[in-house]
Amino acid sequence: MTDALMSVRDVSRVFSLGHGPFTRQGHLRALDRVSFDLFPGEVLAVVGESGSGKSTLSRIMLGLDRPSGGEVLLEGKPVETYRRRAFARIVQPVFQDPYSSLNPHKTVRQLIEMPLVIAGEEGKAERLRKVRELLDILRMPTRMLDAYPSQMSGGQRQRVAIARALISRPRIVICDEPTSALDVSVQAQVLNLLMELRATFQLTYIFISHDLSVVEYIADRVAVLQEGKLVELADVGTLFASPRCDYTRQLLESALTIPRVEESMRPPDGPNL
Amino acid sequence: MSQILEIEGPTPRQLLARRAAGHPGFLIGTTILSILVLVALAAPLLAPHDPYAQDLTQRLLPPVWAETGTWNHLFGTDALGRDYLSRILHGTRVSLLIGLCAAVGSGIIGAMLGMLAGYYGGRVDNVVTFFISVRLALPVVLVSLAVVSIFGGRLWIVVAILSLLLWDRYAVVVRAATQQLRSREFVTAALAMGASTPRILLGELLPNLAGPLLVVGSLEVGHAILLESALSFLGLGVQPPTPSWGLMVAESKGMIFYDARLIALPGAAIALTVMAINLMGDGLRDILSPGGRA
Amino acid sequence: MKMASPPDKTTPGRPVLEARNLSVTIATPRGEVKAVRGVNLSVAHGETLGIVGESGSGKSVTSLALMRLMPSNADVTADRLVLGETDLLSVSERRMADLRGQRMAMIFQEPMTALNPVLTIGRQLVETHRRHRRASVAEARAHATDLLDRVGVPRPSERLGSYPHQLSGGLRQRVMIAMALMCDPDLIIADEPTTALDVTIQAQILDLLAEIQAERGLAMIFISHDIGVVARIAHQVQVMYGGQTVERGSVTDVLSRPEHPYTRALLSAVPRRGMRWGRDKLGAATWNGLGEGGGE
Repeated sequence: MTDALMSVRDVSRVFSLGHGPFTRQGHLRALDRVSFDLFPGEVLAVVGESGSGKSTLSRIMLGLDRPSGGEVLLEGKPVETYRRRAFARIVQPVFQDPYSSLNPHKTVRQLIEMPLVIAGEEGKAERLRKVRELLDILRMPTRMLDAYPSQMSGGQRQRVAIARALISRPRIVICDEPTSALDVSVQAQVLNLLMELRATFQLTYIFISHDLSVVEYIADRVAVLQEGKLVELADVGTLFASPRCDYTRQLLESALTIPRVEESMRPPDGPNL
Repeated sequence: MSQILEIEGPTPRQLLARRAAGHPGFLIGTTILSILVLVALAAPLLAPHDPYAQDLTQRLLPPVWAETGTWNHLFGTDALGRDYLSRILHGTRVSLLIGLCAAVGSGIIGAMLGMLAGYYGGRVDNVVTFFISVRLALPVVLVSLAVVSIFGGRLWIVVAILSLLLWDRYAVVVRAATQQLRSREFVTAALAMGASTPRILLGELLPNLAGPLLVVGSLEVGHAILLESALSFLGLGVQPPTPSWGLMVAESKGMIFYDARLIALPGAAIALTVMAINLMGDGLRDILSPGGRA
Repeated sequence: MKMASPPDKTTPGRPVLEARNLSVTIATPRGEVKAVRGVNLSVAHGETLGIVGESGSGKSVTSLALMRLMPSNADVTADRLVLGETDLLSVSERRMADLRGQRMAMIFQEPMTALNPVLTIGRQLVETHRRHRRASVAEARAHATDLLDRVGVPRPSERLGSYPHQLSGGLRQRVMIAMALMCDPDLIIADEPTTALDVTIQAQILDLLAEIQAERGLAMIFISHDIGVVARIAHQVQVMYGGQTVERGSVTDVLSRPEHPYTRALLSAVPRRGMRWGRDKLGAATWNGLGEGGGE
């Protein structure tokens, strides 16, 4: 197997809870000795329910939070040795809610070029060229350049967020529930798009989700988090066919699916109303 | 693919313009204020006389609507024979200049402190909250008295005093707004992209604070104008012979029973200006707040 | 008022709620929006009707219109809107307030906003009951305890003294269900009641709703954007798009043999068990051109 792109080694994160006059001091162990490797080109899904620690894990992997114990290695080096900008060159986020993750006072162009502006290496014309190129890849018209988020649908906004994550050509994209705020049809578009972009940009995804059918559709490996512990990590086929852990089994049983498509039902070729 | 390609609805700015056009209070306030600004800019051209020129032979001439009034001195003259209309027109300059400068100055102080408190929270927040409490405990008149008696009553000193005394409302509003914005994902996104703290504060947060800042700012202009008048009336503000409305009221206070116009005219000017500004400020609040996302 | 015995699920009797040609027009500053256009629906005792649609399909507006909970800028019209024997279009606002809670109850997506945060859940349950039934506090409390027990709230008598924020999301939704059942309604309208919950909890709540619905022979309208959820709980399903019903039928028929292109496209966009990128592809862009105005 190739070298890991990112290694999470024994990572724990403990939050100390309120110590006001009326509350006792307490600790919340959001992550408890979590370890896994992320290999180049794969889609690693992190599955868990609320309180499982998946958001804390995503913040740590994005360099927004430090583990209380253990370490995270990026390309073999501890993340602390990276400067923030250098780290952002390699790892970029796509967040859940495109209504909140895009600054409402910026145009599409300003939003997408922001990582380049922060890096501060290219001129204005070069940045614009890259933004246009990316819009083209995402099949968005260039007249969107001057639109504001409030003028766009959820799917369009999430495309802008994806474009912003990709403009500085990162190696890892951490998607935190990127489709759970979207309608199913838009979700399908965004999922297909993310997977197409993986090939185009040679990306490695960490895909944080609670939706098991989405995970099965796109992930190569699945990590299951329960109350801060990594309870199972397996290939997607193995995990769905023969889960080892009880909790995973419970998750799989709770997931709601619809009956399989019958042969007679083919997706329509186009609108024929 | 039409769903992907479509851009729906107006830009945020178009939306604001549309809401502004449907708000009578805002329109009236803005119209009066625009006229006042034009008057201030064109005061030397509009004023029939030099506002400083004394003519002791022409003292206390009545205004044109009095029986003995003349068109030469529309609003009459004051106790030193200076043309009252010219002085009021030039007073617009002083009032608006002080109001605007003080509002901007205190806005910078308040916005900075508020953003820092709201963004960092914790100890920084405690320190700023302490400063706000201290500022609220300071008696404005007493502080002005002390400062003016030490440094004198020059215009820029009055502006500085007002800037240092009016930032509290900005700080409170900005702090609360920043606390809300801080948890929005676009701030986290900027952090994850490696943005520096100044970039996040000025590039990401400030544009989103423009609305509340404008609303507070417009109301503070009115506040500053009133305070300047009050300070000048007490002799702590702008010094004679500068034509300030507050000073004009003060200079004529002995005449109140003989020639009320000397007080009523600058008083009306103050009231009109502050009313226009408050109408505009209230309108701005209505226009900017419903579209919290716009 | 209640039927003597729960009717057989397979042969639904007379509809509990029937709406014909229901339309809702909302007046906005930018003009009128036809949120719901000529929707027909009916639901019988012992039957669950699922309404599926994406955002903007009019499904939530429909549910609010059925409860007559629309704001004043909305105009609701229908050829027929009947709950049992009562014509909902003509009853007074006061009578309507009685009907809500007594004969029809609603379960919302976010129980935290539907429950009053400063009152104990016992107080809220008892008040609901006493507002509609002339029962003593003791009777109402006993009834509330029984119901909390039925919806699977552990230690129900102790829980009566809890405040909403002391409960987990799943428990809160169970309390909401108990509150909806307090006055023994004929119809329950559930608007995305499990959307805010974790998957394991969601499955439990759905099972509970299905059980209670069968046990009491309730009519239920279940609104969701999630086809998987509707497939699990509903008998009949109605697919909405652009304020109109595009397809209706039994769940098995609609999900396995969809006829309308929108339903087909919608179903093809849902990832199913065993689907993998590369081998299967979600049908995402196939109906994008369907566009505005329903296309008819």
